[in-house]
Amino acid sequence: MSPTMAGLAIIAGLFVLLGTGMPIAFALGLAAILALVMEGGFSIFYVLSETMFAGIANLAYVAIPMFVLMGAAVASSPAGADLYTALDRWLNRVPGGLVLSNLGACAIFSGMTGSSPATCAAIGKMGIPEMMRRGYPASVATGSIAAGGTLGILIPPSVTLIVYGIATETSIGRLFMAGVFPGIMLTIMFMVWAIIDCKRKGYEFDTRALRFTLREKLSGLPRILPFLLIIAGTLYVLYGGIATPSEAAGAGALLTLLVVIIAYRLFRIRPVANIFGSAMRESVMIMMIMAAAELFAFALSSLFITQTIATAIAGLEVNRWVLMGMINVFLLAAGMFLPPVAVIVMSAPLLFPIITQAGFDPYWFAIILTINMEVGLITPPIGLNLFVINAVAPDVPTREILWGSLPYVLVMFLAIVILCVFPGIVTWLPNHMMGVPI
Amino acid sequence: MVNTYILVVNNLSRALAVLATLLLITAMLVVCQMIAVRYILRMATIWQTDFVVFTATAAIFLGAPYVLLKGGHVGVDVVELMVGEKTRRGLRIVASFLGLLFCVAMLVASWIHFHDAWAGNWKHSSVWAPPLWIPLAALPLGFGMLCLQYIAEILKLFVNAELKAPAPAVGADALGQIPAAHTLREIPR
Amino acid sequence: QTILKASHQFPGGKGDIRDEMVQMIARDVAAANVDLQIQVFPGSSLYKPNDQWNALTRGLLDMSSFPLDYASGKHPQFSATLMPGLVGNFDRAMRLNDSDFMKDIKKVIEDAGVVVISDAWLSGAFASKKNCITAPDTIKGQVIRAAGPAFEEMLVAAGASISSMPSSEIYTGMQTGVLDAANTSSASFVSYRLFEQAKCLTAPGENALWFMYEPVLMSKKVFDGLTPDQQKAILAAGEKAEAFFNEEVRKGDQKLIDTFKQANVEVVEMSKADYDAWLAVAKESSYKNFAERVPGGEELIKKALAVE
Ligand code: NA
Ligand code: NA
Repeated sequence: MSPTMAGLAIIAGLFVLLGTGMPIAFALGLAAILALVMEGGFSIFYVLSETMFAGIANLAYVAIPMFVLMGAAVASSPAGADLYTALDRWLNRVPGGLVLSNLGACAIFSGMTGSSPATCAAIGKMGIPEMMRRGYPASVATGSIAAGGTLGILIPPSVTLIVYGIATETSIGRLFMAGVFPGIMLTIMFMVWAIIDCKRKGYEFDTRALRFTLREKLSGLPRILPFLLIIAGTLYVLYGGIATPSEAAGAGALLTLLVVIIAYRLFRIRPVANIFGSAMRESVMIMMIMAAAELFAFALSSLFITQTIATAIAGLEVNRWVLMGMINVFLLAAGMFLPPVAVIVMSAPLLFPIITQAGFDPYWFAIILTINMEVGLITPPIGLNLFVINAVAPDVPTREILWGSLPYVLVMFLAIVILCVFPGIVTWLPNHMMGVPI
Repeated sequence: MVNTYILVVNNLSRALAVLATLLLITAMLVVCQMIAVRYILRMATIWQTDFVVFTATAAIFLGAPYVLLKGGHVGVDVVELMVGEKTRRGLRIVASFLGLLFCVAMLVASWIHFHDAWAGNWKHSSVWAPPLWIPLAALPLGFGMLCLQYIAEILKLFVNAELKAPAPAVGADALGQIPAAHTLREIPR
Repeated sequence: QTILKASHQFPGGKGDIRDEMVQMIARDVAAANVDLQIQVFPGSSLYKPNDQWNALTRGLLDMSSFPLDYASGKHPQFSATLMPGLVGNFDRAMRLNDSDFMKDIKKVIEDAGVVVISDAWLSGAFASKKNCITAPDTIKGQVIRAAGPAFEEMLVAAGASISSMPSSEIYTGMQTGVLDAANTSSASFVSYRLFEQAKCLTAPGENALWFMYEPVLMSKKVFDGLTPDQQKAILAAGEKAEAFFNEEVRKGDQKLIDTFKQANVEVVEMSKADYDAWLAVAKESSYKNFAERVPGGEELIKKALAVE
C-alpha cells in the first residue's frame, strides 16, 4: 500500500472509531495500534508504552496540570463572580455592557489559566444566568462566553503554546510573549462586535438606567486585586529571572491556591479537595489525548505518511500566501474534529519545516495556529467550550449557542487576516523584549 | 454479584484518583521547593526535575480510570445524537468494547515495558538516576484498572437495560465546582 | 528492495552535521545499487531521542545517529562517553576511537544488539553572562544548564547550581536571568543565537572539557540480515561519513568562535592548568561516582586516560 492510501485508510479508520462516540484519546490510540500491527506485526508492542509515556513525561508538560489548577482554583471560588461584578459596575451603561463585562472578565481570567474550558466555566457560571436574567437572548449570552473563553489559549499562559513549543523546539517564554498583543487585539475586536451587535438590535434594558455611583464603582475594584496579584506574581516569576515557564506554572498554581484560600476563607477540606479533583480530571483528559496523539503521530510517521504529505505540500509551486491559506483550511478542518492539543501534537512536526522554509516566522505561525484552534473550540462536533456552556446552561439548545458564537468565528477569521497583513502585532513584543529570533 | 463488582471497581478507581491527585499536589509543591532552593538558597537541585516529571506523568495514567467512570474522556457525539434510542444503546456497547480493546492492548504493551525496566534494572539517565520501573508501574496499573472499569461500564449498560438519555449530570454545584467538559455525561464511552 | 528506517533528533536539511552524516549514508547506499533504500526521519519525527535505543535493540528501528549517553540508564558504562575531560581535543578523540577504552564500550553496544557504523565525537563549549569560565572556581555561584549528568556532578562539586531545561530554553533562561551560564554543543551555541546573551565564551580549543560520543548506529539484527553486498555498502558509506564528520566538526568550532567574536563576545580557551584543575574536581565527583556505580568503571576511566 502506498503511503497516500495508507494515510487515507488510517484517517478513515479514525473517523469510524470516533463516530462510535468512544473517547478521542482511545480512538486515536486504537487506530494507531491497528495500523502499526498491520504494518509491522506484533513486535510493535515493544515500543507502544514507551511512546505514550515519553510523549508526556516532559518537564514543560508539567505546566499543563499546573495552569489548569490555577484555573480550577479561581473557578471554584466566588472570585469569578467578583471580577464580573466589578467590571459590570463600570460597563453597564455601554450598549451591550454586560457582554463587554463578560469578554473583559474572560480576557483577565485567561491571564491566569492556560485552558479555555476553564475560562469558559469560570466566567460563564456567573455571566450567562446574569445576562439572561437581564433580558439578553440566550444566543448572545452563551455565544459571547463561548468565544470569550477561547482567549484562554491565546493570552498567556497557554496550554497549546506549551505543546507547540515542545513539538517545534521553540521557546515557550517567547511564544507566551507573542500571544499578548494578538490576545488584546482579539478581545477588543470581540468587544467592538458586541457593541455593534447590541446597538444594531437595540438591546436596551432597564438595568442600563441603573447608575452606579463612583463610590460603588471604586468599591468593586479591591475585589479584582487578588487577580491582579496572581497575574503579576506569575509574570514576575516567569520573566523576572526566577524560573523557567514550566516551573513558573507550579509557582503560579500554589500562589493562586493560597490567594483564593485566604481571600475567600476556604478553610475547609471539601472545597479545596474539589479544586484539586476537578483540576486532576481536566488534566487527565487533556494529557491522555496528548499521549494517544503521540501514538497516532508515530503511526503516521512510521508508515511514511507524514513525510509524503510534507514533501507534497513543500513541492507545490504556489505563492506562500496560498500555502498559508491551505494550511489554515487544514487546521480549521482538523480543529473541528479534534481538541487543540491533539491537532498540534500531530501536525506541528509536519507543518513546522514547511512554514519556516516558506519564510514565515515560527512564533507568528504559532499564534495563527492558536486562533485556528480557538475556532475549533466553539465548532461542533468537538468543541470543548460548547460542552462547558452546555453544562453551565443546560436549558439553552446547542443551536442557540452555535448561532451566538458564529459571529465571533468570523471575527477570528478577520483577526487572522489582520495578523497576516500586520505580522508585527505578533512579533513586535517578543522581538523588542528578547531580540530577533533565529 | 454484578453490583458488587461494579461497586468494588468504582471504589478502586476512586482510590487511584486520590493517589493521582496527591501526586499532582506533590509535583506542584516540589516545583516550588525547587525554585526556592535554586533562586533563594542558590543551591543545586538534583532530584527535583526527575521527581516532578515522573509524579505528574504517573498521575495522568493513574487518574484515567476515574475519569472514565465520570464519563470525562471527551468523545464525539454527533452520530449518537442522530440515531434513535435503540441504536444509541448498541453504539455505546460497541464504543465500550472498542475502548476496552485499546486498554487491553496497552495493558499488554505497558506490562512488557514495565517488566523490561524491572528486569533490566533500567535507570533514568540523570544524576539522580531513579529506577524507571517505579514511574512505569503507573502504566500497567492505570491501563489494568481502565480495563476493569470498562467491564464495569459495559455491565452497567446491560444491567440498566432501560437506560434513558443521560441528563447532563453536573452544573455548578453547591460548592461552585468547575463544571468542566468531563462532568457532562455519566455514560461510558 | 529493502527499505531501512533511520531516525535522529537533529534538524533535517539545515546543515546539521549529524543529519548530513545520515543523509550521506542514505545517498551512498542508494547509489551503490544493492537494492537498499534508507528513509531518514530527522528531528525526532519518528522516535523520541531516548526511545531510539530500545527500538534499535529490538530491530524496530534500523539506523540512528544517537548520543550514546542517552542509553546510560540501561548500560551505565555509556556514561563514560559524556564524561568531563576524558577526550580533550579532536586529535585525541581520533586516537581514542582505536583504544581499548572504545573496544570495551563497543563490546557493550554489540552485546545489546547494536553495531557502530561511524564514530563521531562532538565538541561543546561553555558560555556565561557573568565571568569567563576557565578554572573551576570561576563557576562558583553561577546557575548553569549543563549537558549531561556527569557534567552536572562535576559542576555542582565546583560550586555551581544546576537548572535543567531543553536547549531551546537556554536563550530565554539566560535572558530572564534564570541562567547565568550554559554548557552545550558548539552547534547549539550558534543555532540558538546564544551570542546575544553571553558575555564570554569558553571555546573548545586544545583543552576541551565537553565531548560527546554520537555515533551512527545500526540494529545488529537488521545488519546481520542484510546480504554481504549490502553490508559492504553500508560500512563503506559509514566510513565516508565518518571522514566527512571529522573534517566538518572542526569547521563548526571555527564558526562558533567567529560568530561569537563578531557579536563582540569575549572568547577564551581553557589552559592546560585549568583543564587539569577541572580533572581533579571530576576525579572527586563524576569519575568517583562512575567508578562506584558501574562495574569495571574505574578500569574504563583508566583506559581512557591512558590514551596519549
Ligand atoms: Na491563558
Ligand atoms: Na471543534
